[in-house]
Amino acid sequence: MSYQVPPHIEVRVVHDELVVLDTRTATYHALNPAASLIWAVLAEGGSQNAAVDALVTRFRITPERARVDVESTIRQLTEGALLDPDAP
Amino acid sequence: MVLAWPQARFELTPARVIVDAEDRDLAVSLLLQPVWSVVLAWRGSEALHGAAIEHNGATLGILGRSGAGKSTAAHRLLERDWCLVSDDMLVVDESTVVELGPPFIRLVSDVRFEERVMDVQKGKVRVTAAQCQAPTRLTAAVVLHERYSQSVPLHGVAAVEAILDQVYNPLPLFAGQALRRLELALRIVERVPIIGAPVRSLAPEDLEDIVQGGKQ
Repeated sequence: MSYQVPPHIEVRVVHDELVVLDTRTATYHALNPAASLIWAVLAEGGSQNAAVDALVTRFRITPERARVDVESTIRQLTEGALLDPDAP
Repeated sequence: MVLAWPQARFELTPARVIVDAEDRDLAVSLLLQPVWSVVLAWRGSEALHGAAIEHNGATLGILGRSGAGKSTAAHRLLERDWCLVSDDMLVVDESTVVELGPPFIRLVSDVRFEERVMDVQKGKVRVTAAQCQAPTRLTAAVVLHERYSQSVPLHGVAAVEAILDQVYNPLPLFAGQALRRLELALRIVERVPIIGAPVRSLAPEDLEDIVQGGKQ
């Protein structure tokens, strides 16, 4: 599955973290370095597996741990309407 | 736009404010803070809850919600020959230059002061203060908040969040304002060291150290 950034979302980079603004609700979300990396991979069209690989490389964690983190982060991002799954 | 409180009503346009109030002191208090912050927003500026004082070219911003001790901390430095840039409302431009505010500071009545008292508004005393002659660039900022158990440097999104917490009228009034506030916070964080500190916790020497750190 791939994902896209909804049009109501603005993103700004702060060092290795992201601030994501939902302009519809004027709500700011701070993404830590791991979530920011996941976001960056997915927002550029990368797959879930690519996000897992990126986490493993950047943070030197096991693929199993990375997969849990990626799935959890995706769930939070999509439930918060900060990322939209592409239509099948 | 109309802003209304039980005893005061303000009709705002970008060029004019019409005041309808029974209590003059209340009207002045509201006009100088929440109402003026709306006018500023219309004119492209965002106001933060904060005071700013300057000494030898270094300007310190002290941010925090009502009761955090911003004005009291600023007053302590004013007694050390700092000058007042602004109290209650901190407005910075795109170059992080702080705009001059009115030449007085509002203090709780248990703060010691001398004969510079102007009047009492809403339980706080307005005291005249030596005002800086020109706007100055922000050198450092401290954010007073209960979440900090000790003074800590803030970086990245933590610093951005600390600044965003201090905007006047958190609910945006028009499209694009939330993004403009984010851009302001990013600009400040990029150029100015930010310290988080417990409320009512900093001695004048602590504040001077923060500014010295910002100069480096």
